[in-house]
Amino acid sequence: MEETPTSTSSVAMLTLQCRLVGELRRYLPEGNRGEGSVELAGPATIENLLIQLEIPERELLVVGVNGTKAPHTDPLSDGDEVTIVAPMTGGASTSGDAPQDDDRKRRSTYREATKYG
Amino acid sequence: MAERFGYWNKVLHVDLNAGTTTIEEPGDEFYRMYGGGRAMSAHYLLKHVPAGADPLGPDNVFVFAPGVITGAPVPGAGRHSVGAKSPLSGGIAESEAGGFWGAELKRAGWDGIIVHGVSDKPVYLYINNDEVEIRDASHLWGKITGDVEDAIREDHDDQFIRIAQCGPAGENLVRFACVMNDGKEAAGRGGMGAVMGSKKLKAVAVRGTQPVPIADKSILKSTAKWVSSTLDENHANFSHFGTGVAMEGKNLDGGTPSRNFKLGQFDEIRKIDAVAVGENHRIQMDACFACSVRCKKVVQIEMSEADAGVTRKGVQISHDPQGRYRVDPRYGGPEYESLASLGGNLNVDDLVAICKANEMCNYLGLDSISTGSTIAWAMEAFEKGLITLEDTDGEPMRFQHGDDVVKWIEKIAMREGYGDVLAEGSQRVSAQVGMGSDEFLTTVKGVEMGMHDPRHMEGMRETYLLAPAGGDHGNPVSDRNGLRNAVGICSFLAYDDEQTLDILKAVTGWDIDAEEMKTISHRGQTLARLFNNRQGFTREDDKLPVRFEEDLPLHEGLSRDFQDGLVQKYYASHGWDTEGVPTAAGMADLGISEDSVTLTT
Repeated sequence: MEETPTSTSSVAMLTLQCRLVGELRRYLPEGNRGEGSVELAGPATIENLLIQLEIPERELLVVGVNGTKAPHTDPLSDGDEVTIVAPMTGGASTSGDAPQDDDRKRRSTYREATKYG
Repeated sequence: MAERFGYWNKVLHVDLNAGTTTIEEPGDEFYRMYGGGRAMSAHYLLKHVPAGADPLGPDNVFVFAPGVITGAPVPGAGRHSVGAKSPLSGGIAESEAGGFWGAELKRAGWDGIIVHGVSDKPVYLYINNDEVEIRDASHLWGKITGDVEDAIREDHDDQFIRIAQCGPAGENLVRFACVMNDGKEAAGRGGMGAVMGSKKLKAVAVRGTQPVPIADKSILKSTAKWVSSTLDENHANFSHFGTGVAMEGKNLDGGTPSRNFKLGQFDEIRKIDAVAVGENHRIQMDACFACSVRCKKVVQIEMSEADAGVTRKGVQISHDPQGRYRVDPRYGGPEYESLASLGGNLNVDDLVAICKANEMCNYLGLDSISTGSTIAWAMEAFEKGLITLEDTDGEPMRFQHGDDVVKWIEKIAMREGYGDVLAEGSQRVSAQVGMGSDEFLTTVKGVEMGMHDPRHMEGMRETYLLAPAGGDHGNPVSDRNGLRNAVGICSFLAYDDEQTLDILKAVTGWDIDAEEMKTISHRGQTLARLFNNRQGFTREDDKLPVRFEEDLPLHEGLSRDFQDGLVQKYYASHGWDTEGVPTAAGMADLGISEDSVTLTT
């Protein structure tokens, strides 16, 4: 995945109120049970926030901005409340033929299937 | 005779009519064909259960079916399955559970148990390695699951006995009673506890001390090490919080079961998810056999702060601020399905009451999904005035009221008052009530659907449409899940198919490839289909309830045409004709012989 955001959104520094749910807590610099403010430098997008927080497998994350689900390409504004949730990830598939993937590090196709359990 | 690995070639048959037991040696080909789980259950049901058999009568058989991997020393190998004709659907039910019981059965030297007939008095089966006894259970009848465990262990002066049992709900033939094992694990779906109860088989108590023979232990060791050393990478949410940690994501996505699957979102979801359980009521995480993931929550709640104290490990025990409920840790804690079915879908944000409701389901032996969904249906019917206080013994059934849920669980399990009606399951009650109440059922083939809305979760559509056990989210339809079910590996383990194949080869020594794994899965699905067809199911039964044709705020409803498209595609991929009947050619491809489906012809 392209690591450099290409959004045309604003590049001003933002302060966001972030809440990282479950095991994602470990990616929040200030800890504090997964809640805290984050200064976002660079493009003001969700994708850039996820990159800054260094959360892997970003494509699977569900992000809410001020209580509403938002695509990762959405812009962010100063003071936004951002919630980030990772799916439950196991080994099950829930439909059709199981995807075959030679690279065991790339498990996202398997994980997609068991999300939110 | 070639050396055997992963199984013993010993299946125990118990005839409760005669009070006798016999041993079947099915042969090596049998294990390679079926593996265990659903395929094994379907095989025996096809062999012994005729069309139209009363699920709660002597012609039904009850199958305990671990798989060839169950009991192997590798994470995820603690699964077993139970199967019978379902008193809820009238077709096959086959429900999986974790814990230790299945592994103990394998370690006792048995690959499965087939229970025939009906006892004229309560009995339990005691298995101590090769020793098998049908024992009197009159002192256990009426007891809750924890007390039964204590009593059986005391009978034999052995604290290590593992027990699978029906609770009082099963004795009372509640159509969605489950089979509990190890106190907190449930083979929940399809009313398997009622089948045990109908046979007056209170419990199966097992003690086994023989390691399952393994072809190549080194592969299992390295796999176990991979799991334990990569927990944060592959199983972090499971091991730190357990299921239900991602409920807020589902809610943001508009896929939360809410108000009987009507709304898609529940504003109070953060009060009842696994994070909330962990922060407020959990005292530890627990494990299944040989598993380092440890995804099982254990909660403890005392009635008052003075009673609470700390655990032996120094963890603060919580209390109910309202002083209503104590929740015993021996019954575990609520999984996602229970948090959703006894909480979110009822719009209940009272986490103490949800934990209590879950504990009660476990000690009474009720499936928490069907229990919650039957109550959800009744709450909507009550709200609409289709059932009234006159029907419900003067007790209200209200969304948002956790105390109502707790009350009705007891009444259902004991078949008290209107609980006796609800104990028949939502579809049967709706048929009695009429007045359009079927329009808000959430059942497929008579079985209440799991807590994954197919309008939101694309991957669940085929599952609900085509799972032989009906609305069971865990009843596999895919190749991967079907294989895991058959051989006995937990779906939560993040093994890819190559790893599963490695484990299967390492345990059994079989020279098996991915194509054969897929065939095992298809065989189980086709055998289950054959059984359902024999019991009168047709293509018409492969559909979702009307509620799921309606739109959610964030997701479109699923039209019948759309559903039919999925169904036909699936039929074709499994060698079934356009009516869902397995073709002769398809059966031949799967090696299904007439012998294995004796009563179909």
